[in-house]
Amino acid sequence: MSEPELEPENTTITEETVPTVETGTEPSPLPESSNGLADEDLANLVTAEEYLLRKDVQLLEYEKQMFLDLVHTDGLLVSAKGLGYERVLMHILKVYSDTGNLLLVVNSSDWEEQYYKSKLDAKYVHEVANTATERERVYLEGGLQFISTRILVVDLLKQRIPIELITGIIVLRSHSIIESCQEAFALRLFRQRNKTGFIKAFSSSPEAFTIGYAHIERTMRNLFVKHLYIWPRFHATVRSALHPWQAQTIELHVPLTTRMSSLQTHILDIMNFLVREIKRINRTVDMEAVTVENCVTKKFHKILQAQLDCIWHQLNSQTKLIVADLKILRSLMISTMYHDAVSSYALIKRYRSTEYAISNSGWTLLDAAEQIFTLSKQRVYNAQNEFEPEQCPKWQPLSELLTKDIPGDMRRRRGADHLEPPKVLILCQDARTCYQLKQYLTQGSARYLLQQAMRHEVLVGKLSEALAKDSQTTAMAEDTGHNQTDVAKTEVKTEPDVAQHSLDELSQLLSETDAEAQLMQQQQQHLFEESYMLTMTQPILLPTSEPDPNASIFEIIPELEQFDVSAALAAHRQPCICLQTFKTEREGAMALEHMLDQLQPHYVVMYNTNVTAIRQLEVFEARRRLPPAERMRIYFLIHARTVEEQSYLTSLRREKSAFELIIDTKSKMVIPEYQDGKTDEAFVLYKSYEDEDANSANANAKTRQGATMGVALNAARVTPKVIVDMREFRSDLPCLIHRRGLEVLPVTITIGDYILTPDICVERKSISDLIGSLNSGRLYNQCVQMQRYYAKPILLIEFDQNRPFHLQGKFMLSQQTTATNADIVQKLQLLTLHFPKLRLIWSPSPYATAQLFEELKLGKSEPDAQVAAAVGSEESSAAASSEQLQYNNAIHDFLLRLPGVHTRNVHGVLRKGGSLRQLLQRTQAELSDLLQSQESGKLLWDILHVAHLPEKDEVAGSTALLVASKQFTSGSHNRFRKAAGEARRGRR
Amino acid sequence: MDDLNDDSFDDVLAAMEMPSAPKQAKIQTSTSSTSESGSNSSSSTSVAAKPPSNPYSVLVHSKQRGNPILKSILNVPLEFRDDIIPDYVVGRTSCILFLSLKYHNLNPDYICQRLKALGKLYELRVLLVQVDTPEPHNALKSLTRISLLADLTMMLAWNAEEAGKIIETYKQFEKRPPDLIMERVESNPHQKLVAALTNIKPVNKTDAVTLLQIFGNLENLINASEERLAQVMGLGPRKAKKLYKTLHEPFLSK
Repeated sequence: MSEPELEPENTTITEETVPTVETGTEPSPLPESSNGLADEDLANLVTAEEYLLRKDVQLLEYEKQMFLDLVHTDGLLVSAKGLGYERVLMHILKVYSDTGNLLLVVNSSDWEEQYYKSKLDAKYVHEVANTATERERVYLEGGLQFISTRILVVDLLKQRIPIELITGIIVLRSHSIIESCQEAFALRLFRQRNKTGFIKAFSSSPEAFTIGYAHIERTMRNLFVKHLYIWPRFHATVRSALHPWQAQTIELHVPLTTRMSSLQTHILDIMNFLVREIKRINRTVDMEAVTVENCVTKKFHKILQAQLDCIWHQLNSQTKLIVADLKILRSLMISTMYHDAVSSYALIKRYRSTEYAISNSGWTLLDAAEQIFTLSKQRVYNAQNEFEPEQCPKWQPLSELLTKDIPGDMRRRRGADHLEPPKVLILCQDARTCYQLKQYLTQGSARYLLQQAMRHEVLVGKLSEALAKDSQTTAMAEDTGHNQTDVAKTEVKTEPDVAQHSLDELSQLLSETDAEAQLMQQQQQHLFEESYMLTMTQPILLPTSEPDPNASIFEIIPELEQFDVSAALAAHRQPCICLQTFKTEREGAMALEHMLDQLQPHYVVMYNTNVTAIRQLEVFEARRRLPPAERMRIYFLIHARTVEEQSYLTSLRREKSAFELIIDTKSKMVIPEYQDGKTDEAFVLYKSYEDEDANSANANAKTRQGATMGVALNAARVTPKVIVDMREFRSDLPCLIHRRGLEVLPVTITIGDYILTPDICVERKSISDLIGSLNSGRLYNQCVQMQRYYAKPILLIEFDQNRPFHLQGKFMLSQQTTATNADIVQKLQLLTLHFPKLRLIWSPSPYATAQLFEELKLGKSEPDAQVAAAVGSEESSAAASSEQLQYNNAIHDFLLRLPGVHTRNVHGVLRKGGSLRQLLQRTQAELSDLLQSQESGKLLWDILHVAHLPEKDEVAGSTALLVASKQFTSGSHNRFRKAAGEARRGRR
Repeated sequence: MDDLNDDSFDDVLAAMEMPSAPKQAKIQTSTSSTSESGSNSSSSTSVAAKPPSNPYSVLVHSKQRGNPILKSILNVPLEFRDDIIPDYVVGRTSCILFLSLKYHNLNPDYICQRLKALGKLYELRVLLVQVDTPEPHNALKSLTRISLLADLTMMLAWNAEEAGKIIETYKQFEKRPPDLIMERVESNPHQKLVAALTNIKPVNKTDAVTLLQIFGNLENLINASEERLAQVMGLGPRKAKKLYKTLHEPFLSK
């Protein structure tokens, strides 16, 4: 059966016909690429369909469809967040992992690489070797490699990798391949030589494709794929796969406290005002993306950057201030909504300083701002100015859920006698919230808030009665085990001498928490973990004896240190509560899936909302296929009708519109038949198309040159070569040079970055590089070298195409450098004064540079790779040196670094000195004559004849400096805080 | 300048598109005075007749009078002369040609005429371009090609003040040593020695420190035999050979 699958590849379609342009969205797929299934393990399987029928392949319906689509044809798959193409890709990798195939995965992030490696057969996955020869060997072994594109590009160019034998390349996160064109370069090199291998690309970020002009078409062109597969959440197949297995969800609408909601209103008011202001000032500029709605969403920074970066230099200072202030207000909003009252007060307080008042756009002068300050203060102190912070409104419902609802529900569903402890997973957005919840659950709200006050140096002053009592009981509850009687005692005592006692308590508490805070700061790096595991210590099935909701009944399970969830589960037959963030650093979004698999929770509490996480839960449930009664129960804690809900809805809406745009584009897209690059003839055409594309950045630059260039190229016939330093492959330029049809030769060269002709040597500097190397003196040395060996040294100053073409203003990377624009220009001038033969090229973008290189090479002879590599590394005295008297360069440089010798007198020494040995014979007076200065003569004589030992503090000093710098980075805040704390205590 | 560029300058002129006749005539009238005065002064001995220029001032061609960039040259004296060919002379061997892109777009042949007049005079020939058009890239590209062929160093300024500052700085830096753009040298003699030794290719910092520890001073090190050097920990025969060779090389190569 399925004969067509086994047919050899059919490429006759475009062989004799002129490439036709195809407009349909569903062209008949080429029967292709079942060659991977020739694995020995899979030898009896002939088709992908049969592979799916195997028992160990568990995929949802839509995942199967994705799998089939991509196995049969090359394509780009765009899926909604959280739907998870990861499993699909994993199976594709599994199908192809065999020693007979060489499969490369590019553009993967660390956690993705870890994930796939952990799931795949280690025998087929090869690490990328460090040395070139080793890599060459490993490539021949076949299998699977996660490779960085930079290495891949060099190996492709050097033909270390057997290009014809590559089975295929898989590109992850393919929405990003336009900005960094390394991937596109690698794919083009691959496609030029290999017409049969496959290219499959994945992306789970539909929003990314909406930015920029024709992003998706350009991506597909760069990927050499003709098919686009779109998998939104609202796809019928996805819906039918997920809906029957929906978990039971319960939305708990938690009202904000009155102060919080008025804080929110005021912040929104100010944002609204600023947004109107920004639009009023810049009537001509397109400010469509700047809306209040966008301000409160997560992607605001990215959106702003995309919109404003290219016109940043045209905006006036007031606009820039407003943009900065919008970001600040956004952080205030987040702090109000998600952090506790104390830390958000601490944050807001910072913007009340006089320094900030001068440097902002004026929003602190508004009435609403005043309201914000007073309200946030009221959240921390009560009317008597005592310390009585509000609790977060979600805390109370959360503990109620954990202590009452969930056990109750458990009993109802499983019967009272069924005593399997519930497993609960609490999901929150970031490590900070995670930590907050852990502290709250283990220590109680009062203690946590007090700790926060210590950490943020919020003046505690006097504790209010209620809080003092709260925290006291909490502290007591902790050691109820040992001294039950104590509790009774204090509680009796409280009545008679409240005033005195509460003072005692206060000081005791303060010292206690202070010590605790210090302890915590010492382990600051461990502070914000991304997941915690708690358990309840008391059997909460007896709700009668639980008078104090703040008493800590939750404890951390120590096993989680090793992330050994299953061990923890086995050991504790007690209720288990997991705290987890949506994403972790180590595992990315896969962390949640991993956690779900291990924990198999009965209940999930969404403390915050997140689209990806919700979909992951859905997929998890669909995979388990449990009857309704056994499915998870999901509780949502939402502040309804607030910014929180709004930002969730906005992200949903934005994804939906992104998908709509992509679907619309797909229906109209014109894909040339040769776009897959599988025909040679097509490739020639393709290149000329590429040029069009490349020039779109500087459109009017080409028109005239385009025609003449084409003619010249055809006439020349010989491919022009450019030698490129190996280290330059981090930049985009080699890719663009290749794109213009020049041949790129990667060679490790010591002088210059690009060798265009035997005469022309180019040192490329981006603006930040230029500043850095002018200041450090590296550029001077490089110019010395270039001038020595090449007749036409060139310094190429390359601007970023997304930044203004201007050597002024905001391009400085770090604020702490005092170097101004004028300073850099001056240094550049000094450089030209000392190297009058050095030519400067000012290039607005790498595209323009590539074009210029091509023109510079017209009619010139080609550079020789071997000569270029030899220059500078060997003392090839044969190299053309322009100086009339030929000095030996090595000794010239050596002498120049000795004390007393400088650029002006070094020539005299070289001419008359003879050699170092002869210098040794000379007296100090003779040396003085030679150097034309008494002082210099003494210095040189000294260095030649007197032993100089390292100064003591040179050695000790450097180590001390190292230690100090370490302390400074980690502990400066601690010390400062400690000191402040001591001072405070002293005063009291 | 050297003979390498003999024909390359002709290339520029060859590459230039010859303007149509009427336009050319107009340009020639506009530039004729310059070239005439220039050729007069350089060919005849009239230079001697002129009073010698102040070595501390920037020589400005009289035709530049009224150029707004002159207003921002504040820290060096100006001297207007019409016996110089370039627009500005900022040193014995350095000159500046000033070009506004706006003007260049209208009159692309102007710069070629000026270059023809300039010939191969001066060592450092700066082409100071004021970028004052919104889309400068096309024009800049052609200017870059010209500057590569005609041995010009192109500097860009984005406004008149910047341009003035550049001229001023060239004059001020006329005799400045390159210390500002060279790597910082340690004041401590031991560190200086280490820096000097590490400059010899295969020697690294540890090697340099070890060598100084063993031999004490540079004299002993220079007098040490190659075998002795090779015995030093971490050095080995290859590094020793290179080090020995460098230290014993005569200063002048044959």
